[in-house]
Amino acid sequence: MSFVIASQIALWLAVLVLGVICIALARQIGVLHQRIAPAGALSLRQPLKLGEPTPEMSLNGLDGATVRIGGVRGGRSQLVLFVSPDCTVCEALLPAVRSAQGAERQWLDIVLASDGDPVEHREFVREKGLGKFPYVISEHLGRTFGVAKLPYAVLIDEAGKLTATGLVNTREHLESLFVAKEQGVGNIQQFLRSSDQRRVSSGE
Amino acid sequence: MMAVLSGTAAVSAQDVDRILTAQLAAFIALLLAASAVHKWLRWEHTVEVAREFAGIPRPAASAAALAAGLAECGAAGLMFSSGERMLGALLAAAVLTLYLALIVRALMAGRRNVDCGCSFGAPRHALGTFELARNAVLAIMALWVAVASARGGAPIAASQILGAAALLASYAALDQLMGLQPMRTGAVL
Repeated sequence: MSFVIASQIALWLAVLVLGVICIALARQIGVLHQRIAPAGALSLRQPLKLGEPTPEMSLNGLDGATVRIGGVRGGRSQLVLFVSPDCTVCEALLPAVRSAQGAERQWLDIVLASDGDPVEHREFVREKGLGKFPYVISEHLGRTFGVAKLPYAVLIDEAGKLTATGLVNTREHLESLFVAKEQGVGNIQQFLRSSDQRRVSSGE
Repeated sequence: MMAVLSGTAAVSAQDVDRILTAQLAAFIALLLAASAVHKWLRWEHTVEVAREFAGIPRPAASAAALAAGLAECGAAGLMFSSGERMLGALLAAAVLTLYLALIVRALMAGRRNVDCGCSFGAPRHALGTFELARNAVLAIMALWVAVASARGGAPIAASQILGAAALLASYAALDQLMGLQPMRTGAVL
């Protein structure tokens, strides 16, 4: 056997081993995806039920413009994110919100909401560079959606119906609302219940 | 003519062409054989795919699935033989083009979440550009083997079967990776 053929066989063997290692790693990632429960936004007790139409509201934004929340929105969904200047988790979430605004711009509008002193909020918007987002201050809005803890997000679909809602402490929680809309699941509790039912029915 | 030096012997470009064609033929043959075995091992799933994805009525779905498996087996067997390689490659190209056409039809009908049965693992993502590109490349490769084997092909050496197995492992690894749940876009902070 010549040196060239021997080295060719050795190289193919190396490629084969690498291929098998890649398969094993990819399978392991797949298994981990299946075993780890998804990080979803925890839904709290709320006055509106998922799938119900949200009340249409016209509110004044911090910049003076009128911001419409809820109602039929001409093919676009709306994410209302409740934040507060003194909430450190909200602050940590802001880069993910900016990122989501870019990545989901085809179908989603993001509105930031809070309550309290407008001067404090203007300073917050300026300091954190949130000028691109409509920002409303309305205690009534928070009560309407039963916001008790922050940061809290409410996703309203293009037909004005409440689609997904929950506490969003991380990027995964925020993105889980979008996935929930795509999969027709309202919140993490519903998803886990349906997963359990699937497991039981398939005899796993 | 361009010559490629290999050790002490000079190998002509024509020889390189014949060696590469045989290597590619071995890979496609092994892939089709693996696909046929996969169909046989998951027979009920294959029949379901024939019904749901290809839209074949229930009574004919088993026969269609069997025909697809036999065509893959036949193409694989013919491609391993240097004398019948062109015929095998044409059959492989026809089968792969049919699968490609079915994917295009499903995408045009907006059925992105249908199980195409075109993955060795369980499908976990919607049909899209990857499946289209993969099947198109495989069909083109089979056609290229058919054209290149028109004047007879080189026999497949044992080292080329090893090479085909390595390529198949790489293909299966890519298949596994593409089957993972994708991250949402805009993940960079």
